[in-house]
Amino acid sequence: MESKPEEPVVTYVCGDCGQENTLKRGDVFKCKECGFRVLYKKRIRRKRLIPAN
Amino acid sequence: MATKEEKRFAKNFNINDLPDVPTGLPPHLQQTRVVSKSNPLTANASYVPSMGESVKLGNFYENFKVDVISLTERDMEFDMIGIDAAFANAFRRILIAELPTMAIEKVLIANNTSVIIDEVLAHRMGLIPIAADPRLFEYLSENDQPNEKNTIVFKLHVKCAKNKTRQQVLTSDLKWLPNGSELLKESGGSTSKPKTYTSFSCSQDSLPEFANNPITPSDLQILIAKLAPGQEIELEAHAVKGIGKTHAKWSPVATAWYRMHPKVDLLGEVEDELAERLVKICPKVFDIEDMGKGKKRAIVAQPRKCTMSKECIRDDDLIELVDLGSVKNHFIFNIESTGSLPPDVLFTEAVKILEAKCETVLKEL
Repeated sequence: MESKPEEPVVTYVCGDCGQENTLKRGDVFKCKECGFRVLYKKRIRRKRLIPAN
Repeated sequence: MATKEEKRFAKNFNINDLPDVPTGLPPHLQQTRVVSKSNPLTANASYVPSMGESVKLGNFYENFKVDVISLTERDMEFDMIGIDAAFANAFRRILIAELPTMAIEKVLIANNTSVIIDEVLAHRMGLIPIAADPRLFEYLSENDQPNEKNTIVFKLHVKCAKNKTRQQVLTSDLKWLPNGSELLKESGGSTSKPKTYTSFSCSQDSLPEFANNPITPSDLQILIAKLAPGQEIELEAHAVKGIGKTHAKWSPVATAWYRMHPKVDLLGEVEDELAERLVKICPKVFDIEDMGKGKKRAIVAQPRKCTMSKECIRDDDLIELVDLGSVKNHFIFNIESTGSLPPDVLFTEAVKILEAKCETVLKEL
């Protein structure tokens, strides 16, 4: 059972326009909309328990 | 038990016989005992009964008085007359640190893309005052399961849309979840039943106290965070019972303080020009009284308003005429509640806690 596929499909967020880009292995690393070359990874969707101290 | 030998030794002992003790000292350095001259019973007492009156319970009943000056939902000003400073201070300390409240303790963050980092956001949520009567809840300890009797669950899910301007996240965005947590714990296998973070056996909505008034924060305009377009906060906050001693977020009062009633006396006649000067320096406390025939004198109109700034005795002429002090045993108390309970209820609860402490001491004696 695979939770991570052979070719990971990740959504990155463009640094300029904020557009979400879904890229596969081998795709050019730039925003599909505005061509900006700095893409950020999205925050992990895991629940964090933080004490309110 | 000391033996006969040891007793004899102690009787014949003289410190000057020991080696290393210098001889030939003047008499004032040869002293080996320190004696206190003051009376041990009254040496450290803050209130020494004057004129032979005793501090008996009967006398206390006769002389003790409480006057409520003002009382609103959040603030109270009242006078306590005839009580010792130790009690006034004890009530103040209990109000600040030992009265329980409900405050957010655990924050489960599912998503936070705002500029406020998780820990800072959780810290801010902890400080939000919650309008829930803590007497209706139980403490949650390490081993207990969070349930409807010891936890209040809030949800916060805000997203700033892409086309909008910067958005504020206020306390009003917090939603009460009377049925408990909605977030599922991540389980390892897909076959096991998903567990939630709390196990509510019945909805808090069904309880009579909360049936028609939902639990909310005490103030709905408190700013928690700001979101720029595209940013999102999704979290669940669990509030539990605690006391101010553990963390200041659990203090039920913005603050509680007391001051002693000022004692302002004029030691002689303050007339005409001097009176005008005195009233000009402190118009709050002093006033002019006309004596007819063009003569005026100053009187102490409102000593309660004195702030003890001592401006009135800065002047060389006035310093001999104005006597400034405090009335012992007359305390002007102020209590500012943060909203969990009204201030008069807070005070009666503080009295109950002091009573309980006395009971504990008496039991142990």
